[in-house]
Amino acid sequence: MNQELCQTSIENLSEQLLQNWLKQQAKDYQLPYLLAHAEDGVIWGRFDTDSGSLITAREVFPECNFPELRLNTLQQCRIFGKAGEVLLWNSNGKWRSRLILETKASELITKKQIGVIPESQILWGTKGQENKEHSFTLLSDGSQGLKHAVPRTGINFDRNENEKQPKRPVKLEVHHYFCYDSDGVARIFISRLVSLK
Amino acid sequence: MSTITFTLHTQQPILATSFQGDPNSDVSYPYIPGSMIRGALIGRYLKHNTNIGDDILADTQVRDLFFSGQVRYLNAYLLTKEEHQPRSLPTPRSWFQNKGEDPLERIYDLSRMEMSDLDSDVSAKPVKHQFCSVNSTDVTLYTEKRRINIHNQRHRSKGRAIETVGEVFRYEALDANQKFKAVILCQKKDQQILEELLNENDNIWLGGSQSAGYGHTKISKIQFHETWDEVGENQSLENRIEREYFQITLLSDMILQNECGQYVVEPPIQLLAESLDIDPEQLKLHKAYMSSALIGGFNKKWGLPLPQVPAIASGSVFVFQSLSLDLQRVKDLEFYGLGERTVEGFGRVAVNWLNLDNSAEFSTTLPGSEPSSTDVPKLPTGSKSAKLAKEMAKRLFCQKLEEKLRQKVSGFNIEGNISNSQLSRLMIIARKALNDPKLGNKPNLQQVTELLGNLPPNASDQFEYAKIGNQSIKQPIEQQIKEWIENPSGWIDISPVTIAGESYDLSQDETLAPKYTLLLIMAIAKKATKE
Repeated sequence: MNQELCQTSIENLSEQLLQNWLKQQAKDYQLPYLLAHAEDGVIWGRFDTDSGSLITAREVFPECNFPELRLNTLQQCRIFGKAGEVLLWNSNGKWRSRLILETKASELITKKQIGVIPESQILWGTKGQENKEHSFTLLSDGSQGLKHAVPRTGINFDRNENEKQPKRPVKLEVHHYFCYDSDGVARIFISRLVSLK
Repeated sequence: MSTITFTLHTQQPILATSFQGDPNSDVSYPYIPGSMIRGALIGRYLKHNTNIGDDILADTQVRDLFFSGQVRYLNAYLLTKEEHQPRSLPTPRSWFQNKGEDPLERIYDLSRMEMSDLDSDVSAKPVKHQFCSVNSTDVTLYTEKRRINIHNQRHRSKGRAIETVGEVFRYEALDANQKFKAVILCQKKDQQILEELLNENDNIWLGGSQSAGYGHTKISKIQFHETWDEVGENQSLENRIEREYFQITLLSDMILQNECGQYVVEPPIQLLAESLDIDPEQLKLHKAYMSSALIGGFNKKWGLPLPQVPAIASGSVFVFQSLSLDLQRVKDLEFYGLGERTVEGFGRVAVNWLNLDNSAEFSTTLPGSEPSSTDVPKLPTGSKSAKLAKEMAKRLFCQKLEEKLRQKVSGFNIEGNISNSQLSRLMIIARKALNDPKLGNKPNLQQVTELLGNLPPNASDQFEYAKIGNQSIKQPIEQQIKEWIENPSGWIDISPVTIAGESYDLSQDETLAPKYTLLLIMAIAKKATKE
């Protein structure tokens, strides 16, 4: 089923080409969010899907010393939005990419060839500090000192009266796609990020 | 290529958190992960090279030593006493034992035999011990010791639990006073720096909750090896490669991504074929014994938890049909491993490990227990308390002996014609033999032997033709009694009793075995008389 839903390719990337490649993908497929895992940290970013420009948490909150987006330290990177997701990862020294488009997924779901399980994954963050100019929120969690900045604003951290524990309101929406094998066993064969809630 | 091995001796419990148990508990891995050792050495390196600055990855040497894959930090597994294999390895998942066999004596390797080849009375279940060392067909099994502590969350400034901050949670950590063997695979040029980092201080802190009394470990026995085989000295790859099959055993968890970047748990056929430079079609999977694990952790540099990914669990076994292999390719496969995060010790593989003599069965032993920090300390030698503990252990041991005697008698029957008068004669002699004045009122088994040797022919025939035994095995009474007399402790398979470090077993009193053997003879004779 992977072949029908995903388009994969091997990318010839260099340090100079990386940002342009990411911006082009975001522009081509209208994907606003970036989430990258690098050796030195987690990088959140936001694309302007019209111009293709990219801003990362490092530029919005320079005082936090968030990691820089660079090929040298990159482990994997996802550009995502409601329209789809591009995953870029390194396998045996080669950079590979995978595209999932929502239009294709919907088509397969309509034909009942695959099914989807939406899941909201809770992100760390019980307190937030907004940067309205760039629409980012700097999240911290309890007293642990965990910090990351997500490309979203307007997050409600207020607790209800009967809630004793601080709440973690930021959610990452994930779609898990499943299909049945020849023995009738359902299996999630691929998952993608959809949006930040 | 060089290998550095060293011993990590835990002085405090180590918390290497895995995803097990309920959300309010942290359960440790049964080993010290390679990522933890790498993290600790990065800390030492940065302490000495303060000029590097915040962006440590811009430094070429940091990248070479810790990130590029030129140096690999393998998991530290429990130390064994075997010289040829000082580092234990994950128990293959193709190993099964007979359910309920205690102590475990036999292991069946189902990768080399079929389930139908097992004896009908063998009910196979996986071996529960997680680590092993192998010497030909002899296996020693190891299990790590754990320490469970209950903690209370505290408010940071108030220093105590309050209504909103005060959850009770549990740490299940690797216990103190255990030794693990760690391995670093490196290039020769990096050896000296790594040696300096390891030698800098014997004391190293590993894992989580270090401020709460976890993580203190001592480094010792740092050794360098020009050649090193992960599965032990006497199993060189040249010996292993020429086999009738091609078998892969995972010596650590393996993280795999498929062609679409999805993390998957399936036989690593594509990657193996790429690594061996053969067509995937050539790898015909014959058998697979695998399990999955969820890998996560915490990255100190990120200040965030790592993404959770599924992995093929260590000990998984894949058996393929035989094929000709290039020795250098297989060497590289074993050295570099397969899959993701191999720098941190993931994806270690062994080719055709075990069964060099094609045996599918192994005899097993468990290592002698060493005192752990949770064991009760030994009492002072010769003290009143020690004597009391010894006496208590002796009484409990005798209770166990009596229970064993009862079980033995209830399982035995006498069949055939033997008169009550002969049985009475046997009982009387056995009773007299319990306290022989010639031996200072000690038991004398010789008296029973003399009785059996001096019987008149009619009585001797009765002892010869009457049978004794349980439902499956029966033998003449005379033969059975002689066997017991020759080896009075042979029927007593009772483990020693230990109270506060003072143990008691058969060897402590030489009269115990003869005494209870005579009691057994009397009890069986009495049972037969009644019947």
